[in-house]
Amino acid sequence: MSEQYSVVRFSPTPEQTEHVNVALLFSDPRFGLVYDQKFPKLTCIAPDFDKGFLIEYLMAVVATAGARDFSLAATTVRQAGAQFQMTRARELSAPLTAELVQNLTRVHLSRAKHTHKGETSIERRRIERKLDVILNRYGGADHPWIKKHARPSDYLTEDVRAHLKDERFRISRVVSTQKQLIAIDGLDIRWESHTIERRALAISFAFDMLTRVKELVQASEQRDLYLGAVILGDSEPSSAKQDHAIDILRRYSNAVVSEHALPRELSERLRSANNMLRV
Amino acid sequence: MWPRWVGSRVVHPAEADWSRFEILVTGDELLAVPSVVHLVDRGQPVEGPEGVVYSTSPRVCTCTSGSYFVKGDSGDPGMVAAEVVGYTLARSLKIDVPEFAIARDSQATFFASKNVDGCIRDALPFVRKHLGILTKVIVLDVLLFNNDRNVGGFVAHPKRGLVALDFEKSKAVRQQHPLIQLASFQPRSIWPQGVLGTIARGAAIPGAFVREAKSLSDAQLRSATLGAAQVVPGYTWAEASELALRRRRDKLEELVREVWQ
Repeated sequence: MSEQYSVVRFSPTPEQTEHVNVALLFSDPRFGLVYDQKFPKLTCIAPDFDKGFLIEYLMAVVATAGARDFSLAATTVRQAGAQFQMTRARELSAPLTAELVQNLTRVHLSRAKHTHKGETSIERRRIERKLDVILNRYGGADHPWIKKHARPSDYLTEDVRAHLKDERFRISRVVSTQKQLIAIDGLDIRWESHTIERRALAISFAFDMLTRVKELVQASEQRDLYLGAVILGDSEPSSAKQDHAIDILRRYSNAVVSEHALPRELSERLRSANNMLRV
Repeated sequence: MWPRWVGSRVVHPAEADWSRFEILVTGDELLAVPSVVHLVDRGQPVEGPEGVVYSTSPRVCTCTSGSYFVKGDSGDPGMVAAEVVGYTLARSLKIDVPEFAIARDSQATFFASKNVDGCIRDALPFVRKHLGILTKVIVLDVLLFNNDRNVGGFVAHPKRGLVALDFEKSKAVRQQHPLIQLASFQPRSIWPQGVLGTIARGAAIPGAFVREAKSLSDAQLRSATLGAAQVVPGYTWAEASELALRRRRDKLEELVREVWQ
């Protein structure tokens, strides 16, 4: 009988975030449980999750299963609750070697390489989810007037867009009401430094383009434009790159704020936009 | 700003954790009343382990101050009160429980607890390492007559160890006439169920903690039960719960021994 393996998937909050691959479980006891100690995919969705704790858990599950019994370990993971998922066992058609294990680890456990302007789609979705949590505090993130991952054509009239120097940008969330246009985007300062910088530049570019038509928006659409950048992550900026990225955002935004403390002006604008939407 | 009553002592405002309770002054009493949050949506069901269906149908809902695990849709105020009193007394006894609140919408009142960030919900592999916490929770279950302790009643956290959940079956609070009704239940049924009970079997009674629980004052028990009554509509038997808890506290050592046999 050929060897098998399953992919162990984990989500710290399965009701809110998707599961990501964290380990491979092989039927061959020589390999047993294999994981990348950095848990690159988990780091994308939950940078603060204690990886050592997850390893302790996974090793305990395998140990409980006794002598690395593949099917028992698989059953134990399946019974662990909604945080864990286990794919169906996949039969290997090639001989199981250390090299193959390394290859499978790279394929299943490395971070996704499909990036857009330096960020993966997982990272972008994570930011958007966080922004939705913030918007939910002010009346809901799924209102049709809240534009998601919005192009200028989603919230600006053709007349205004004709004056934009470049339309090739998107903003994570735009609250677009009759009187207000609130553009909100986020930056997670715990990312790798080059990603932080690229994202800060991308947000600043979008905000700069909008600032240049701000007066026109006010004059022709009678709408007030407000640009807010939200810094995600509990930690204070500790590196020069992080400071630099935040400085860039400050230059182009009305407010650069922590996810935990929106300034009164922005929160009042969101509240009043929500009241407008209700009316 | 007056001093805030937390647990068994009055603490300076700077020292108190203001996020956990509102304080209500009634006459000369201070009651620890849980914060109230408002439901924004009815959320989605919490998925249990394979083959397990939660009796309380917990849901993850968005509230005005973030996401909460919410339960109590059955229209049973005793269930919500049991959770509130259990969590409040756990905090008084320094047993780690999640941040909690009362959640409301236009139709109903629910018990709401925050997700424990960074936890693993399957606490089983960590229970042996934290037997001390488990035995303390069993003592609290004895006080509350909570006969539903199982491995799902804990989550594991790398720094906090085991965090206790689920006090909704606490009969001393949930039953409307506890002094009469408790007699019909076997004390031994309080012992944890399944594999958790097997693991706890070898553990000794935590004597010091039993004494600590026995020193809960009448005012603390009254604050927990009447505080719950302030925010749980329909929980009209708070004084009966208080009396039942006082009686159980007074003979706690004996009750614990009975359950431990």
